[in-house]
Amino acid sequence: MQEFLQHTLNGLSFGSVYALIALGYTMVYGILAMINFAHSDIYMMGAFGTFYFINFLKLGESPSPITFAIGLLAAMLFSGLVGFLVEKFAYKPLRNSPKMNVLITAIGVSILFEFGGQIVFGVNPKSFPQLMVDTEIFNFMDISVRLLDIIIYLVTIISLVSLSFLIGKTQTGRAMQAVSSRPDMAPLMGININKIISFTFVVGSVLAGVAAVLVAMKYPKIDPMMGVKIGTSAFVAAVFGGIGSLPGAVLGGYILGLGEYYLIGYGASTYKEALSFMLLILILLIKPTGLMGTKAKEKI
Amino acid sequence: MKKMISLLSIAALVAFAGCTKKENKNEILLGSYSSNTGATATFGVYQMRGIEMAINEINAAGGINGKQIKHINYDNKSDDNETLAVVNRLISQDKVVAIIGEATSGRSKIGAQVAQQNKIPMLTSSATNPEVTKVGNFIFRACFIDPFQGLVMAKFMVNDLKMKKAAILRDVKNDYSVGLSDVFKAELVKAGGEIVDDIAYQEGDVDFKSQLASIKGKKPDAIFVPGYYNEVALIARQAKELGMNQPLLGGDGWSSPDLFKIAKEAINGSYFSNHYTTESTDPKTVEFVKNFKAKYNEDADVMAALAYDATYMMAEAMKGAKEITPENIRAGLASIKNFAGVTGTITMNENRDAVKSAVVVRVQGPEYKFVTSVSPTN
Amino acid sequence: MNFMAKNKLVLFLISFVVIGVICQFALNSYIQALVVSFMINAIMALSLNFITGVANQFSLGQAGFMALGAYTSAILTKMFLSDQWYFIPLTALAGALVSTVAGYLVALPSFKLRGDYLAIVTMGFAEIVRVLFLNWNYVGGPRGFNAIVKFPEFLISFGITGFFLIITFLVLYHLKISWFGRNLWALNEDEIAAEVMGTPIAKNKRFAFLFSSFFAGLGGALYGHHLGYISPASFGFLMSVQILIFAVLGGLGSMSGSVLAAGILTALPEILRSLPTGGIDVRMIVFPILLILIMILRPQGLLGRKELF
Repeated sequence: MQEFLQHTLNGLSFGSVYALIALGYTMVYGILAMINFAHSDIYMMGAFGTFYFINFLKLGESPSPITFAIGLLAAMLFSGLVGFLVEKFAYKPLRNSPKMNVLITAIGVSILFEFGGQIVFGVNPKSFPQLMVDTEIFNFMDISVRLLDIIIYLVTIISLVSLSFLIGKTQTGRAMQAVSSRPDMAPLMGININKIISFTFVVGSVLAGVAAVLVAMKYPKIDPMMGVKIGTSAFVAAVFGGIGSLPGAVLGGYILGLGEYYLIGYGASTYKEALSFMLLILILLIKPTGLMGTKAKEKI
Repeated sequence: MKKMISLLSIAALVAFAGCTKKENKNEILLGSYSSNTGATATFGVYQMRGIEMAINEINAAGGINGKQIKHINYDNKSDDNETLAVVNRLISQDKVVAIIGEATSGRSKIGAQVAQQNKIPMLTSSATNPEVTKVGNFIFRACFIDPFQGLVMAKFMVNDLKMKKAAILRDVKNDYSVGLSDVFKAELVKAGGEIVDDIAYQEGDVDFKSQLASIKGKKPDAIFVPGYYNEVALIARQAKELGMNQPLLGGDGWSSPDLFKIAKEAINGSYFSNHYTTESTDPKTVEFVKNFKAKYNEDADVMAALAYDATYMMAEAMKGAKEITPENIRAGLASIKNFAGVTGTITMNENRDAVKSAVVVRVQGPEYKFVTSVSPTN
Repeated sequence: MNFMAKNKLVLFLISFVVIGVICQFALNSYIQALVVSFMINAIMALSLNFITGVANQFSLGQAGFMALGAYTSAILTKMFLSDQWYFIPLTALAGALVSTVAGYLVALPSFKLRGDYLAIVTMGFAEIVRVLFLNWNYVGGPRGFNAIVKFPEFLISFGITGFFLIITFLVLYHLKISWFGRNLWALNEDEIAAEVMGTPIAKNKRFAFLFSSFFAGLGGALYGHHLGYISPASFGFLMSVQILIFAVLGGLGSMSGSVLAAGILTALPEILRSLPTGGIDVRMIVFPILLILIMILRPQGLLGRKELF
């Protein structure tokens, strides 16, 4: 029983991270109908942004909630900026091109960041500074629940709620919905498409940056390739949950997280990588719009 | 017609690029191939630095029998196809007399086949899979083979730590880790021990809590984690977070200054088999560590140290040769006895594997404290 | 084939043989190995181009088909045919067949998937194949499969690999300009209209996949015999991306474009290696930049859908 609880807790914890990153994927796909392959690398850039910023200010020696907040802000700024630039220079020129072209470009951007990161940041993994002391909040059946775990859950829930509010109840949100459903009509309604798209990208990237800092705090090792694995899994989670659906992304994240951890815990750890792809193929064959996705009627 | 022209022009371009350079009789051409970029860049970069440093020293001291060594290094970008291309290039274009490389077993196997076919001696500094040297009599290695380290740690656990029950946490993607794990398993059982759990992770993973939770439930005395320091560091942290206090055991893949930097106190009290200890008062080792830091502003790791030794071993083989030819170098390498390197005293055995003692060290902060030394004849 | 074309073909074959003989004697083994690498890359690029360029089904799974072909051929030659190189053409074809079966399995349920989704499914397929081989100890698992038999002489390697390249090109080119190929192009333009016109979409897509995976498997098998060693790590996502770059540069839809691009991009890293770039990985920086620039500035690549002749 104890083991099961431990695996469940781990799965939920990691699932939250997947959820945060999946939200970014899903937002971009919802608006632009494109899979931003480079999202996992924007995530990585967020971690490195914070790393350099905190080390520059030498704040790593004084962990505290304030240092944490500063680190978080740095990541949000940095990844938001990178996301903005990528959209502006790599994806915007292709807005009217066939989908395949954008996808190919996204792949190119992703690889460029990874290998460029190796050159700029160096190939060695770096030790992420401690932003805050991770104290144990309570202990249940020999399972330790820590502050950071709680923060990760909270951040995920808050992100989901605020994003839903943003999209459902604000003017900007409605503009986003408009661009998503009828990109050809939206400008006629007075919506500045470029702004909305950029905004969406930035929001998604900021979420990735937040996820990156939380992960780096919990697993204090960063390197230019850190986004690859986690990004792929988060992407699968997004598709599984229903790409384009916010709660779907979160649900997908948790399901995948739990699935992976149960798999590891109960013996088939060597197949973990294949799990996410098998889930993916399964859902694409059975219900391609994902668990919570809505079937988009194709008009002839 | 156009197709033929374009085909021919490409061929011409490549041929041009491949112009054979003029031979300089006063130079010894030593080639190396390493993964300076790509997935295993950390290994390649340190390997290359170890070689460079050694060659600089050798040349500064007068070279080999008066001739300077010219080092030609190619980056294989962690890619198999590139490896084939660059080893071919070293041999047929640059006409090197010997090759050092590679850091990983997989790519070493590719290079070894080419080297053997062309009868150019190849010395790998850190490829630990036994199959590499089986490719042929021109292929040598300067490091332990996997079975040896697995054996060392199994014996250490039973004889020195007096523990019986072990769990294995292996990196399933990594043949080094798999190799050590399999041997450790077999040897521990032979020595009267018991494997209570054998569970896997993959390099690149950051969270090992589920694996550790499973292991925790089986209550082992020690945990064998023969992976690379990137993951081992995180594993150590998480084990402590889960309240697990068993010592971790590992192999030379742990050997890096980043291990402690990332793991911090969590790794203290764990043991691994290595080529040297930081406490070593051996002047060679001390000099090496100091000079490396001075030259590259980073701490040396085991890849650099092994590559450094491999280069000096090459030099040794060349010194003894009347004429510096690939065949003579091969003979020289085969007859290396009690070569004093920074990673230990090395003798080449009939399988062309390096026979040297391993030290088992205990991690204490950034230091590796000597616990015991195991010689291969044990 | 009409008289003119036949003449051209014969001329081409003769010059091919002549080039082969010249290479054997005039070039060193480094360049010789590059030539064979180029030919294998060309086969891979053609296989991807056919499914992605001609049939407009974005596939990111070539590495998976390659792996199947490579491992099959390696297993057959080593375990059952005592490493005799003259069986390689047969085992390579066997590898291609295994790969084709996989292609059929992938294509079966995928026909209702569009664009990005198909790309992800194929990517997932390749990953699953890789993980399966990683866990299969019989073929070495993470240790890889070593000492795969190679062709003993460059001329033989050149001849057989070249032969397969020529077959690949001829088959795919003729498919492209045939009724079948034009059907596929119709799918590209407007799937719904095509269906209304009576084009059997699913069947055609599946067929295209079969051909693509056949040649990808063939290329993979030859790859294994060229390098002498394969491991699951060689067939990761990066491999599929590399092949994609070849096809994109040449022009999605142009068969000769793929061959040309394969030539340029095989030669390029070697030429750049002669320049002092000091440890900077040109290939993995230049290639993606190239990819991005091509997509933005000239998405049709070098030749678009046209051919060199």
